[in-house]
Amino acid sequence: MTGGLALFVAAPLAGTALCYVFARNTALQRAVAVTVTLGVTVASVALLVHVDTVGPVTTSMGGWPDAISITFVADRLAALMLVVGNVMMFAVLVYAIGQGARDERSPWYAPAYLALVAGVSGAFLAGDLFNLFVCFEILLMASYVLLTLEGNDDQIRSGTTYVVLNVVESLVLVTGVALVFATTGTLSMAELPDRLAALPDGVALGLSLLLLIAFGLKAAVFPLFSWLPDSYPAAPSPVSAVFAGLLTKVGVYAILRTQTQWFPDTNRTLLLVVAAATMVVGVLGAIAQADIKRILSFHIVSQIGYMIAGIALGGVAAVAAVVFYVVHHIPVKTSLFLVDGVVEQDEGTSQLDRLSGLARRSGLLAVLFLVPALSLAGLPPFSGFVGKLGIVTVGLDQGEWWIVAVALTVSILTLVSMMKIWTGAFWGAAPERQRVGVLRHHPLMAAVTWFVVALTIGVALFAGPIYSFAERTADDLRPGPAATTGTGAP
Amino acid sequence: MNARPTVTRSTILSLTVSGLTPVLVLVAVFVTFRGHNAPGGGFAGGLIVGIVLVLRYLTDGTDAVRRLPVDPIVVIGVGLLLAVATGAVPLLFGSSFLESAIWKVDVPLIGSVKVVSSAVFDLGVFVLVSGVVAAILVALVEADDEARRGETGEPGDPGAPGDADRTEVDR
Repeated sequence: MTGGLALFVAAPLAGTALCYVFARNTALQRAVAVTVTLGVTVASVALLVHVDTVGPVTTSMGGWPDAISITFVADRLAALMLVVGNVMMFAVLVYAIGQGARDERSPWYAPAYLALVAGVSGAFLAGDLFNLFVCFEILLMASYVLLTLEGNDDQIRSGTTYVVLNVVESLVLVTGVALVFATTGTLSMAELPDRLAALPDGVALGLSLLLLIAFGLKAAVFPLFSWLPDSYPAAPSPVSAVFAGLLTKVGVYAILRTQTQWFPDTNRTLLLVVAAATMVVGVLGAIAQADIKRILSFHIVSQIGYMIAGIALGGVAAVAAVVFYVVHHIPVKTSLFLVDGVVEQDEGTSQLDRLSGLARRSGLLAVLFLVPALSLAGLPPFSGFVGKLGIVTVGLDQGEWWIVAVALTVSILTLVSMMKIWTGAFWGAAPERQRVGVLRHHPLMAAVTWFVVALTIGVALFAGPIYSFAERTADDLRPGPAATTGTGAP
Repeated sequence: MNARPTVTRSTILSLTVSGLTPVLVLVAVFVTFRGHNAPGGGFAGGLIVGIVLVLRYLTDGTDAVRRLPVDPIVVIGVGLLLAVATGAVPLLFGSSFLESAIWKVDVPLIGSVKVVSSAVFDLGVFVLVSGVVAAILVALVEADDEARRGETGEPGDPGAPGDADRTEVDR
């Protein structure tokens, strides 16, 4: 099976093609999309098991020598992200079919969604910097389509900001890629740590900052975050769910790789300050909003701060905490947006002043919201507690008490803003004319939301095994050349 | 059917373009296959086909775009399928993804010809890009139709922008 890893990108692209061919048949398009996403999900779980037990997998394409061919590498981190990403893509696809919104019935939806799957998978697997850039482009192109598919005024306005900013990001990234190649003569992620270490300090610092700006814009860190709370709420709920869960995390993934393996111990103070600012600004923005989707969008920014803080602290323990945090965060964030989608579908709005008494009408929906909400705030026994505990412990060990103080304060503020949603939308008296049992009327959406919330509970229940996996992952990522060199085709 | 006022059409331009169409398509195909070892390729070829479509749109108006024999979105799919399949087929023969097979064929009168399987990939790109340009044109024409309906105050067909030409016929 020499094709191995290529199929994680090729299969969704083939699905994209089939969906175009079946453009006038929504049912067939849905069937293709579900089959493909389910297939790559199962395959990525198998890959994760293989990588964990046997070792990293490498696939070179086109029969060219290693230095110039397209290379995909799956180490523990890549395989883990692939599994989490594909599971979310599959779940949200089914949810979107259940919702059957106007954009989902467009012939362009399923192809764009599968292209997004291909781009995200490719970004996780890319074995060299240039192909990382290419896969970023694929996922960005797909995201432009999904974000603006309804074509209403709000989407066009925020979509313009989104597209322009991401084009600028691509420009910075491709400049960074070119400069890395010019200074080191390679773009291979396996060779770069050594080559970069041989560079003069100033040059390496410049390169690291350039890449940090590009990936930081993608990850929405302070001060490059303002596009996110503007554009995500304009998208339909399933789209913003998958964007919220995954797209910024692709940026975090890239920062994690570059900072731990290529530029260890550089920019530490800068990253810590950025992380603290990201947390604080994000959560304050969230408190100021009066719309569920906007509050949740600002929370994405705030949570990214925790991940960046962990990356900045550095060391195996910190990286393990970050990996766990990312794994916990993706389903939690996605499920919150899914709950919001159910609310919007039923009520036609996500504005807090127009919602009331949802808990009385559907206790289960309230539970589905409360579990990920408390997890996001980091309360025990939920998964967010474990993730935050990991980062806080490392912070204390390294004597960075101030970042710990910021992180804990922001946690409380997160709780406050979640309570704002709770009191605004779920608490209070239900309007009498409204029907009860919100979930019953949207069975497929409810089932998927249950599934994702169950996943977040699963992350909490199996925090031990997942954390030890995260530690093995962090061990792989220790600065040094041996980490990403593969063992050849499986 | 075409009752609404249209721009004046130039007979000279119209005849020139319809004469040039086969030539331009041939150039497009040539550029596509030339691209293996020289500047050109499927993308450039597809854009040339796009130029043909734009020229026909300029001479024959929106009808030229609405009368397309195939749905552009399907063309995009076929092109992409062709490209991905070219990448995947080598896997069946134990080679790596996107690996290209090379054959030397002796053709009478021409001599030895090098045939590469990656030419099919380029063909896929060619078809895909042609489809994309056509799809963009169709979208623009539909938007144009809608705008005209808005201007003249005729009853439009809300919620079905894809059925622009059907409403024309109904009228």
